[in-house]
Formats: sequence, C-alpha cells, structure tokens
Amino acid sequence: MIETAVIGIRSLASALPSRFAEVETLRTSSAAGTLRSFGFPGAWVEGNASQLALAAARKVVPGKKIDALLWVGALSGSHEHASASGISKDNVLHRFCYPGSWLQEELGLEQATVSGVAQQGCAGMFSAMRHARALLVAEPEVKNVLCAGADALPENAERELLYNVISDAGCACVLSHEELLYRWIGYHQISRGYYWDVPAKQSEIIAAYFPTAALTIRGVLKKTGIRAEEIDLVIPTGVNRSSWPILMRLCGIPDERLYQPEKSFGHTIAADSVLILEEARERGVLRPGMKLLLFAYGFGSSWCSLILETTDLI
Amino acid sequence: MKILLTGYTGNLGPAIARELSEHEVIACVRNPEAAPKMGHVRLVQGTLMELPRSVAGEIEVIIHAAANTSFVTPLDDLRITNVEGTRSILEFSRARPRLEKIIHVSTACVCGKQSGSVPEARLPKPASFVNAYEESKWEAEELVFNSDLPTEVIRLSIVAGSETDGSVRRTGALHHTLYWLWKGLIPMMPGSPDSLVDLISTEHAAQVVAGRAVAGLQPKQVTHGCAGEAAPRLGELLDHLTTIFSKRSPAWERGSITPPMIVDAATFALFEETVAQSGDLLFRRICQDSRSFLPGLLHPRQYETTNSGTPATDWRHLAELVTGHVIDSRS
Repeated sequence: MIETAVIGIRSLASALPSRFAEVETLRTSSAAGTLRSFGFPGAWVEGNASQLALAAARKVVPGKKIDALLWVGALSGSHEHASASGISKDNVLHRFCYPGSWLQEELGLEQATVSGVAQQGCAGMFSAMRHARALLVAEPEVKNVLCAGADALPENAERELLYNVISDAGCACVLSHEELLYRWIGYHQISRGYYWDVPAKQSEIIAAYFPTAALTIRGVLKKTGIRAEEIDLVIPTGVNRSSWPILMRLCGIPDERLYQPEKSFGHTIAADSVLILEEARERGVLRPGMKLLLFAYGFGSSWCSLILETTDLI
Repeated sequence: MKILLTGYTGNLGPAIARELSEHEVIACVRNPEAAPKMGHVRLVQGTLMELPRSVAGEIEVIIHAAANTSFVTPLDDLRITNVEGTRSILEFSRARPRLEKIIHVSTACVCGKQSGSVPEARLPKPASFVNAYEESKWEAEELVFNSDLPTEVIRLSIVAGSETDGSVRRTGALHHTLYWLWKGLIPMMPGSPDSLVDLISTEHAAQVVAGRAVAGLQPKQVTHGCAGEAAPRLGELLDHLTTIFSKRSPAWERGSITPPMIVDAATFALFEETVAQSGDLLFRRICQDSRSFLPGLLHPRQYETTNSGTPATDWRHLAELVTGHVIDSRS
C-alpha cells in the first residue's frame, strides 16, 4: 500500500521566451489602457512550445529517474512537433509527431512511458499533476512522474482572450514520493461540458467563472477539512488581476493572503501557477508548513483547485 | 361611485379598473385612441398637468397611480411626473364638493435603505435611497401627508405580474433580471440569503388599491400592498428559480449552469467595477438592469401588512408564472 500522504511536487520550473512585447504593440481586441489596468503591460512572445517545455524540463529532470512523462498542452498545435522530414506538410504522418515523445528523446528518458494531457485549456498542468499523482498512487513501481508542456501562439496572433493577454511559456514539474518541496494535500475539479463551444458561449463562461470557481475552491476545502482562514497563501494565475480580490471574497479567504507577483508574466495559459509559485519561493515568501491554495480555470470548461503544503525543503 | 384614475395605461391601470367594474371609472389618458377599452371606463383626454376640468365636478374618488417608474432617470426629471404631477392632482382636488377621497399610489421602497420592519405609517426621510425613483416618490408622499385633503397612501412592493398567466404590461428591472438569470449571465447578486424579496401579483396590487378606493376614508392612512411575512427569502427564491429553470432547460437540470452567488455589497461593487473597466457591453447592460433593483436586497426588511393582509397567492406559483412568461416572451 502506498502512503498517499507523502506524494507531492519534488521540483518545478518554467521557461519564457526571450522577448517581451509591450501591450500597445500586440494584436488585442480591447484598448491597451484597459488591458494595462487589468495587469497586462505586455506579453512574452515569439516562443516555440517544444523548446520552452524542453528548457523548463531540463531544470527539473537531472538526478531523477523519470518513470512517466505527461506532456501538457492547451492548444491543439502544442501537441504536434515539427518533423525533420521534407515530405509534404499535408501528409498525415506529420500529425503523429508528438512533442512528448520528442521531449523523452531529447532528455534521454528511456525508462519513462509517455502520454499527453489535452483539452484542459489553462488548467492543463493541474490536470497533469492530478494524473501524475494518481499514477504514483496506483503503480508502486512508478517513483517519479514528469509533467511538462508549453503553449505558444503563432507570430502576430491575436493575444487577447476574454480580457487576458496571453504570453508564451513552458513549465515542468516532477511529482514524487521523496525530496518534496510541496506536499499534495487535496484537489478538486469541476468540468462543465456545457461550455465547450467557447466562441458561442463567451459571455456565459464569463458569468459562470466566479460561482463555479468558488464552488471548486469550497470543494477542495471541504475535501481536505481545511477552513478558508487556514489557507496561508493563495497563488494566483496570470489572469485579469481584478478578478482575484473578488474570488478571495467569494471564498472567505482574507485579502492579504493573496500573493502579489512582482514580475509580469501575462497569462501563460497552463504555466501561470508554476511561474508564480517559483517567484514566491525565490522571493523567500514561502516557509515550511504553509498551506497554499492554487486555482486555475481552463476552457472546456474545467475549474481546478489544488492545496499544497510546503515542506522543510522549501 | 365615479372614480378618476390616473396611470390607466400603465402597468397596473387596467387591473385597477377591472377591480372597479361596479363603478364608473374616468380614466385620464394622453391618447384615448391607444388606451385599453372597458365598458365601465370613460376615457378622457388629459395629462397630470392638464387634468380634465370637464369632469371635475362629478368625481367622488381619485386614484393617482400615474408615475415615472424608471430606476435610472435623474431625480430632477423624475420629480416632474412624480412630485409635480402629485402636486397638480392635489390642487385639482380642491373645492370639489363631491370628492370623498384621494388614493395616492406609492412604492414600498420609499423607505430607501432602511432595514428591519417598515410600518404602515408616514416615514421620516431615509438617510439614503437606492435610486432616485424612491426619493421622488417619498417627496410625493410628503406632499400628500402635508395636504389638508382627504388622502390615503398605498405603497406597493414589486408588482411581478399576473397570478393567472404571469403576464406583465411593462417589463421592469425584475423581469430583465429574471431573463439574465435564465440565460446564466448573472454571476452574483448582492444581499443575504435571508433578505426578503417582496413580490406581489398585479391582481393583488389592484385589489388593495381598489379596495381602499371604495372603502370609508381613513385619513392619512398608509396601506402596504406587499407580501410582508409571506415574501420569499432571496436564498429560497433563487432555489425556486433554479427548479423552474430546470424544468425548461437540460443545462439547468443537469447543474451545468451554476446559480449566482449571494454576495455582500463590497464584493458586488468589485464585480461592477471590473465590468465597467472591461467595457463589455452585454455585462454593462446586465449590471445596469441589476443596479437599480438588486442593491435593495442589501437592506433586509419586512413590510407590515396589517391594513391589507398578505396575498392569497403563494409566491412560488407567482414566480413560476412570471418567469415562464418572461422566458417565453423573449425566446
């Protein structure tokens, strides 16, 4: 029997492209001033999804025998890697060139089994971690699971998504039983297929965001028996910053428990929580024994909430 | 009895006239051609500022039900109809030897942001109002109370619609809000689950007004045409609406659409601020429709109904009929 209480995140890392573009230079629907007021001075652009994931994974893999690799991507294009072959791009074989397999090859993870997590939008990394944990619980021979992925928008693509400015980014983390930085306390997800048609249901999605987010967070609190006021820090995502104080109030968590990132990452789709958690750790905000609440919403639609506890290794 | 009725073409006018079918109703209207026709109703042309002098000598009772009920119109504009219109009615009523009584139809919301029990009595000016409509109606009441004429005041709460088919002559903030709720576009509502939402049917409102019109004068009496203690609490109303929506929509039935959360004033203000910042036209409209009506829920209160009693129809039945009408008429 595996002791599930000792599963958690052993290491995590992220990677951003080299260029940050001011919001005024980006293709957006809303005015630049409006987006700045929502906390988006610009976006990280010109990234390559596979390379960003590789850069992040290289920071977390050394010294660990990886038994399983879960590739994460929100965009359908993030699940294809460019072939070295010169055959026509119309050939269906190109559709079978997977970045997860490419990443395994690049990192030399010969022992790992590879699969992918898709259709979770910005909640993809949360979902991958959930499945990684499930693997660790279900299969005793699995000791370390690498979750890695990235999303990058095409050059000159529209960068605004429902009042959020999208950055390219990659992230990676290893879930394990040992040398944990963050102990896994609980997870809760609500998926609503009703909202699958994103273009048609934009307004309904905006309206559903808050009440369903609150239900999700209350769900994880209930599952874990933790009271809202016992949450030490809420790690936000990079979405519209004006939404977080509302969500804090809806969940009964004191405003001052919301972590305020110093850096501007934009909304990096699935990498937000990793980027911001890393920053909080680098700034020395985290101390052993802190209960952290993480939340992400992904088109599809899925609302995910995760509680982690920092260990002495933090 | 000969009864002069203002506001005949409004939301409540025809229903009041129907309740007075044993009397002769003289309806003062701008355009008699466009007004509803009833056998016992005589249509005479006029406005609040130019009342029909030709019938003045016949009138025994005046029911002043005309008002500008817009929740978003500025106070000065509302005063033209609601305050000056009432002043005009009172002046018109002077030296009418046959006049027995003037019924001034007001709103329960003249108590503004007051919480707790609201008595059927003249109210001191509240510290603040939710909207200018309430303030203009409070000022109109003051004219009525200060006059030396035989007046009574009837305060109505939210007239939701007909208790027989849910229909409503003019949709208002309540109906818009019901529609946005049905569409899953209201993420949160201000108030507390225990706030009473005082809804009444058109028929009940009309019965209270007509009943006082033909009864003996009780000088300066205030009668609440309200649900009072029979009103639903916001939490149970939302639960009931979810049940109603679930009968009509698989998405509601399956729980795919999450009902709005009931939040405090500060949280709702943050949401409104975010909507304003975004410039999102649909949500700005939803907030505009909600702003004039929903903030009243932040001031939990119960209206006394000693003088009229509570409605005979259960609020659940009324809510189901009105909601069905709103959905069907906008689909």
